[in-house]
Amino acid sequence: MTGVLTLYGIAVTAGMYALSRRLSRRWPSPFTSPVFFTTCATMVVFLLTRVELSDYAEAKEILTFLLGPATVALAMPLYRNRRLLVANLVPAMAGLIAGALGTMLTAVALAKALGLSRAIVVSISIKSVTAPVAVEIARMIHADPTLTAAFVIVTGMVGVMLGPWLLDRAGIRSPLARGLALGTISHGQGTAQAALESELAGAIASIALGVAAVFTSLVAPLLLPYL
Amino acid sequence: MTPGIEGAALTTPAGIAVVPRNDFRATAAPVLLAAKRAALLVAEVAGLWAINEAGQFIVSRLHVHFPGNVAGMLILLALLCTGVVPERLFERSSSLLARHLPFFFVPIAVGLMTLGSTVVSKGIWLLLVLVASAAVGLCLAGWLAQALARPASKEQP
Repeated sequence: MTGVLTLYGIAVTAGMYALSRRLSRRWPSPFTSPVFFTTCATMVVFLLTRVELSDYAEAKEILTFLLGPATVALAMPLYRNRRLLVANLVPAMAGLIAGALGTMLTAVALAKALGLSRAIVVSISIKSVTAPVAVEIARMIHADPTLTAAFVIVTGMVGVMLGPWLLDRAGIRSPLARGLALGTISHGQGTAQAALESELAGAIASIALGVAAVFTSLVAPLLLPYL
Repeated sequence: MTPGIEGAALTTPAGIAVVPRNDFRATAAPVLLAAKRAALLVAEVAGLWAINEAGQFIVSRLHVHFPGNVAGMLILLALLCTGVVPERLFERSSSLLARHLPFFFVPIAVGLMTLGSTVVSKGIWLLLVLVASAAVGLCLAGWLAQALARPASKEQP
């Protein structure tokens, strides 16, 4: 019985993912983006067909197996664009550290001020890291991986919907600065958005995504006692 | 059936087409190529998996608070920079995994199903925190990078 449910879980997830890729190609929008759409659609199908989360545990185990190798593969864009990083080392690193630290501290301070529970505060602190790394950091600092994943996905969408407009308003026009900001704050989705703006922005965003993941991995455990 | 004539399909008196050996090879070639490609892809992913495991192992052995998969990423970066691993070795698997990255972590987010009530009741506040903190981060990163990059970009247009 569990075998059938596991297969069903995998089939639903894969089916919704395939559908989301078609939808996002036809109607590009953060709401049809594969991450957001697949997550919501899979949940809806499970609720309608009365699949419990425990029935999905094995499928989840199988499907997330490739998260580790996928994270390791992030070294490739870093290596490919290494000269760009070296050529702009000071502005890129300064902007990245300020952005990553700034967004973490703002999220934590605001969440605390609003009286949100500690579990939420800890999980929300790492929402600007690319999902596979955020989930791993969440396990390390005893945050909730599921909450973290949700916050990461929403942050990616916020960056795509709000980012370009906000950067225009703030007078940030240099492709380097725009790509860096989008990659640092909105990880994968921000990088995709930056790549639409220009090749340089996309390249620096993919660097920012990787370096911000390393930076936040180092900082999050240090910040933990103060949360 | 006349053996010896190769390269053209022969027809038996009954009208059944007989495929000579050479044609069989020609039809099998793309299948073999696809199988070879798939096997290479699996080998590439296995390599990335092994590096991830190495990262996890090192981190757990050293008792440092650092994600094992990020350690794996740094190991691969070091291997690439030192030339131990050529760039093209993980070319195909890395682009494939990067393209479908969302698929692999969707199952974790689906767990939100049971956390629905917590999230919905606090939804507006959570969204406020996420939007405000993203805005602060975007502006800080953008402003600082642009301010510091300006002099340099004048030197090399």
